[in-house]
Amino acid sequence: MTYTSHLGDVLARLERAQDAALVAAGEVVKAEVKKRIREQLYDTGALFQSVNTTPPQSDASGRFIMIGTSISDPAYPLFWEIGHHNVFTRRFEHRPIWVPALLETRAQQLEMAHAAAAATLGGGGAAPSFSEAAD
Amino acid sequence: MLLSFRRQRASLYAYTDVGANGRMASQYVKRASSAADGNWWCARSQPTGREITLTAQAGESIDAVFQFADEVLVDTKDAIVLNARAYRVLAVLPPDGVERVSRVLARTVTLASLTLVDA
Repeated sequence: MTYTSHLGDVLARLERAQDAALVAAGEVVKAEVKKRIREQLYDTGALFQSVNTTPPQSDASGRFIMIGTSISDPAYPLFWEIGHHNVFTRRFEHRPIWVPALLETRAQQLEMAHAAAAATLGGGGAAPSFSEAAD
Repeated sequence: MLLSFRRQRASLYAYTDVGANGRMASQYVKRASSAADGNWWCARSQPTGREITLTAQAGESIDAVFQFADEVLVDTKDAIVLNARAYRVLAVLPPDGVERVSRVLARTVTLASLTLVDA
């Protein structure tokens, strides 16, 4: 009897599942950021449209995805995020959007990531549900 | 999202397992709309801004986000066929601040790998 290794196929599928999980989790954060921009900022639509994610990529610590904006000159989304003295309102303005959206959707990110990974791997039963306390 | 942004017609197929005795047999049954062609208006975009090739396997490499009107029922593992290219739904995404829209993350699969049934 001869054996054939399918390790390469398995690893490729695992990588696809991991990337699908990252993209799904990224979409959750992106959706939340857009929702908060609509609700909390005065936006012409430019910021809303500029929210995007990178493809999954690798570094020494593993696979990751980045979520951000293409607006960098001037980097006013950053000014609102970290706070600034606003010359029009003459006040210190601080309306964080991005970090709270990332942190407060953790349970939903996990849920989406599990669903996407399971569907990619060929499973696809109901994704386990997570609560905010179940870190 | 403006209605005019949904300008492509996609066929939706609901996943069913018609296997017996523990064997899986995936089948996708068309979920027809009331339109003459039975398809649904949708918009398709790349979630990461460009089409990604993750494997050397042609046709199994591209992620896409589909947007439908919220009355369209689409679930994980369902299939979408758009312009002779098939997609499998990976996850139903949350709304992104735009009301009355349902969004799904999907990935291309080879059309021949799906058993499609036009009910």
